[in-house]
Amino acid sequence: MSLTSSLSIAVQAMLTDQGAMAVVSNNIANVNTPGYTREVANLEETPPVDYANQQYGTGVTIANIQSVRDNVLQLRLNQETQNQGKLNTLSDGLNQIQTLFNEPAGSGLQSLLSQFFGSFQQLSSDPTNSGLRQAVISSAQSLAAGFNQSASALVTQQQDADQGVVQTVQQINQLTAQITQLNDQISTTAGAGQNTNSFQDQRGQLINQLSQLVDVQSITADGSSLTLTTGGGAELVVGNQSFNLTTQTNATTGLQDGYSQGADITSTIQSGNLAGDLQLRDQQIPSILSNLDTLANSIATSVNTQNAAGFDLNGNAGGNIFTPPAAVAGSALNLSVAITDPNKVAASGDGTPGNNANATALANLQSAPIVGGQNPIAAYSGLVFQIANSAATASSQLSGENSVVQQLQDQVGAVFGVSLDEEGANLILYQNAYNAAARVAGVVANLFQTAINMLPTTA
Amino acid sequence: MSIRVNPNILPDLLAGLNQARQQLNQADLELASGRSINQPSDNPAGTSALILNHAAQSQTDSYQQNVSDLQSKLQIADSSLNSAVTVIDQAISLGVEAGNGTLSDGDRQAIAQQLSGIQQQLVGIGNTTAGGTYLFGGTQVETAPFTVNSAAAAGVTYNGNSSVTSVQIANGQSVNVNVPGDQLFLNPSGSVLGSINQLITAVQNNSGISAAVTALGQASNEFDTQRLSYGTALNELQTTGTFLTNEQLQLSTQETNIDGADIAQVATQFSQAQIAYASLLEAETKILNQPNILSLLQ
Repeated sequence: MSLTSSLSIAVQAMLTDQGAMAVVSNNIANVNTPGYTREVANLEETPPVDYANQQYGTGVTIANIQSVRDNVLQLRLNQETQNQGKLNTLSDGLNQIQTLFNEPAGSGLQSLLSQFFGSFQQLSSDPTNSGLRQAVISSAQSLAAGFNQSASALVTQQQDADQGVVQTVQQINQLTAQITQLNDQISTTAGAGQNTNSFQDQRGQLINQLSQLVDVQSITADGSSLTLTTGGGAELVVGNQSFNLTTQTNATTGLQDGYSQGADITSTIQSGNLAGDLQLRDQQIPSILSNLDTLANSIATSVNTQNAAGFDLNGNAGGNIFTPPAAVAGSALNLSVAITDPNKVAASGDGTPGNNANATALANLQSAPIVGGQNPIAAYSGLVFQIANSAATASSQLSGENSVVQQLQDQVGAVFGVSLDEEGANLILYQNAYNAAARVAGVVANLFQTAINMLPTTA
Repeated sequence: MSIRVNPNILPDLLAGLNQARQQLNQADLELASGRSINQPSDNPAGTSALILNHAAQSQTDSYQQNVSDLQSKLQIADSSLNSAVTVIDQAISLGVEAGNGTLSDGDRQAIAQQLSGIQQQLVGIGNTTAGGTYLFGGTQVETAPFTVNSAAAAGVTYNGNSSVTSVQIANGQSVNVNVPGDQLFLNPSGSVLGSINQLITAVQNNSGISAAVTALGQASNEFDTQRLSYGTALNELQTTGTFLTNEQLQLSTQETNIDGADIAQVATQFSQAQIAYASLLEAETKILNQPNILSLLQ
């Protein structure tokens, strides 16, 4: 073996250590980069050479620079992120809805309902009293306004959720376009035999973002090309092609349905923000609104019927107090008071002005089973219970899901994350190796000098 | 290879801080409001119970309002009927005086005139109003119940009806709040106005005075019996008023049981949360400032 080969082994080692230190340096530089996967320089021996019937090692080189990934773990994180996304949206929406019925803080319909029925109660003690009659009209107006406001706020929430669907679909399309681009870059780069680590990091990060929005399933065909579909199987990304989701107005509901390649996929969306908005928009809010409508409708109808059974202060048969709702649906939003003349309140049961029988009957509707077998207050408290319970359930599911995601993120971080301690230790390791290799090179250089000095000096 | 832990501890630290902060906020909210339920989702069943409780309180308020309104109205009725008793007694005395054989015609005419005055007073009492409504016309509360009519047997026409009004003053409990004027003043078992009218005629004609006085005495007894209803109603209102006050107390105790924060406990929770937050913050600052191998390299 020649001194030259020793020198070249030492120099090669120095280069390798430099490369490894560059990996360490890159890791340290990206210690806080979201989605960055730590890299490891895998060292390997270079092939030996035969010389004088002996095999000699030829040194070290960097075989590859590997990103430390765990795809299974990443997949689980993405799945839980999808659930988290759905629960986040759902819980936010329900929390906003429950503020409309914040009875513990004194806001909501209970006091309006009580005042309305109480106004008949008080009128029964003095049926001709114009102040008490006026109180019936004003409390009926307040009650109607209360129903209108609650229903209109719910409709606004529903429209917000609908808007959320449109925006989420736009975000999904942006992300799938970016992912498609990266897919393309990855296959081109890999085809050229180059390192795709940083592209894969970016793509992983984008898929995680996509997971917050929609239930996404990923299939890696050959390690580099990636197919993404929704849980229902609608294609989002196939290799270097992305399929945009679109929204179309549903003619019946006036709300936006989600479409993929011409097919309505609204009902197949199971998780992510999109599913949360859909559940709020299509299930939670309609159910609350429908209960509110039933309540408003039953009260309006029963009060009208009872008022018609009595006589007003002029001795005429009573008419409607509320404008009769056209249908149950929309009753809460459109509830209005039909009369402004306090004398039209039919307090009398027999036409004489001092008779209070019908006022008492109107007051007693408060405890009569006029709303699907329940009295109005009980029906309302059932409705608030339903809202409160949904909000509480969503909120506790969300905090459970948050800890699951946090744990998974810890696990992912344990595999993927850059540890400064580890990098520091590696740095020392490579520094020492570099120093040693440099020393070897120095010694070899001295040996060259010694060999050169053996030559006679020429004059 | 050793087991790696997540080198990026920041999210965990923040989550921990966030949780401690939430506990602190919750305790703070409960302390500030004095309530354990500050939004429906804090306790769905409790919220539902609160609604029923508030509605019951509100209904009890209405009943209480009714009771106090009726009390003042019935007191007016009762005291005007009391004054009627005094006036009727005067009429009886006058009748007895008129029966004295030594009186001159002129004296009797004077007495008859006094009796007519009493008759008018009684009609006035029969037309007593409270809050703009007539108290003794049955449910015809907007028409004066009695008008003088010399052609009528009793000397008056009754314009009211015989309806008794009953007002609900508690769940399943009602009280009769009027005695119709005909029952009070023109009762078939003893008609005060009829007897006085008879007495006036008897005194004017100096015949049948003693029988007329006896009849008035009977009518006066009947009147006393009839007006007792007001006393009974007032007693009932008083009793129910007390009952409603107690019920209100019970309901508000129940409300506190549903959503009242246990202040001592919450205060303790608050201090604990405060300490937890502060120590967590301190510990985490130390953790974040931990040196690593790199910081030891020269």
